[in-house]
Amino acid sequence: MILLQVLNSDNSISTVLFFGTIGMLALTIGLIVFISFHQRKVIRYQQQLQRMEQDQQKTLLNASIRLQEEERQRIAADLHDDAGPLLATARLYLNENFVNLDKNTQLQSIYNAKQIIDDTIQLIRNISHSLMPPTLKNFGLESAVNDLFQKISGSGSMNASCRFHDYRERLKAENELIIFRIIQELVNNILKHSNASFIHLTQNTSGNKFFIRIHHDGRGLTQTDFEKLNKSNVGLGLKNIQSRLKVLQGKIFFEKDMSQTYYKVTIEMIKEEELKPA
Amino acid sequence: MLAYISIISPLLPIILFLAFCTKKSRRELWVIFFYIVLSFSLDFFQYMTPWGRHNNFRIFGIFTIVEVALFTYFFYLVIGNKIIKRIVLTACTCLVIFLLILFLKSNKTNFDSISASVESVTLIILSITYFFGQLSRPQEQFIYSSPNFWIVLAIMIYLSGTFFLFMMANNLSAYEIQKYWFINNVSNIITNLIFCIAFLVNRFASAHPITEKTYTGYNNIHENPLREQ
Repeated sequence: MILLQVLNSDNSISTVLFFGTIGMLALTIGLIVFISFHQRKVIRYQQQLQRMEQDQQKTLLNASIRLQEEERQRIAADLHDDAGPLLATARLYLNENFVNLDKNTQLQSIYNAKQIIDDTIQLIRNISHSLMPPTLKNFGLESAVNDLFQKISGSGSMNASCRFHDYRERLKAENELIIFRIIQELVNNILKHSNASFIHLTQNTSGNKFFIRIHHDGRGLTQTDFEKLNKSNVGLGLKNIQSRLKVLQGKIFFEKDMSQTYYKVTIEMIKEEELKPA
Repeated sequence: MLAYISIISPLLPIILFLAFCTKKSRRELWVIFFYIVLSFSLDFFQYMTPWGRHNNFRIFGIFTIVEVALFTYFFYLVIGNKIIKRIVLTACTCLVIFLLILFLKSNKTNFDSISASVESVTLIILSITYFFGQLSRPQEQFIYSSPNFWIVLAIMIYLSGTFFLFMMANNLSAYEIQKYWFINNVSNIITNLIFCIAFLVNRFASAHPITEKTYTGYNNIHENPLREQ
């Protein structure tokens, strides 16, 4: 009715007033609707990102728990299958002394028991070393990595070398262990899957960053492969690397060399003094 | 009839504020409450007393200045950006002085279109600034779960609804003003209804913010992730 009144009236002021008011209200409502929908969309997008990150964390947590369980099973198997029978055998030899009173036989069984106990000590030492390498604990990351690479080279299957350019001050023991485990995992992967003939590791620093680079000439991963494996259920070791790096607030990059001959893995971390507490 | 509804419409937000919002309300809500009480008192005084009816435009002029001051103070409180806050404060001071000079110089027998238009434009700009400020801030809550959103919406609806009426009031005859004054009444009623929503939102939605259902990963942090394999 108002519209009819306005349209029928000759007064142009009425028309301007009517359409002006309607226009202003339409603009205001349009703006409000736009803002509300846009904000809704932004919030949903943020939540989707958050959800993806939580999924990723869940996968990493799963991987690290599974790896821990595997490690425990391995130690349990070592103790049960190797140390257990050895100690049982030593016990049998020592029991022999109660039954057989012949001096020579007794000496022989004590000697045998001693041999077996020595073997058990060595076995337990090996297990303990695999849990925490003594070189790493006593002499630091550089020596531990050198040791690891010398062992690989010594086996004759691969040429392995490493060079630390700027490692005058040792990192915290727990951080050294994390980095060592990451290197161990990467080297293991290269040994197992790449068919490479050499591995070369270098360490250096730049600004507040600490870098470790590993080159090899075998079949390797690119960043896309790494991300794909990280999201899938396989690639437990890679997920473990990722979760260890998270503790150090570090990053890892997999790439193929410019010459397309080598694969390069770069681990990038913030120097210890600048690490934020997690 | 519409005029009377418009006059008594502020009573609803006043009652709601007194019922729900007096205990834990922030300062910006008190500013709006004070504005609504003032608006109701002046409207009542203007229409119900003979002096008020004779000095209609004088009261309207004073109310415009107070309205600008209160609304810009509201925006000063709700806008987060410090630079914009300073700009709002400076612009508001200048605007109030300008409106005061305009009011003192005017003959007070006609509707002051300039004051009303300047007020509308300034407050609409401030409202848009508020909304875009909200968009640029990362938030977990939806914008409409905040009472400030509804208050700014009410201000914008009132100002945009009456913008052309106030701007052209000088060119309209007394009959035309009376004829089109229903625009002001309708805008006023809608504004007061939106103020009611703001106070209700402050009471109910602030305690339980309207958010999307958040994702919680494991329901129990002690749950063994290996169990599902």
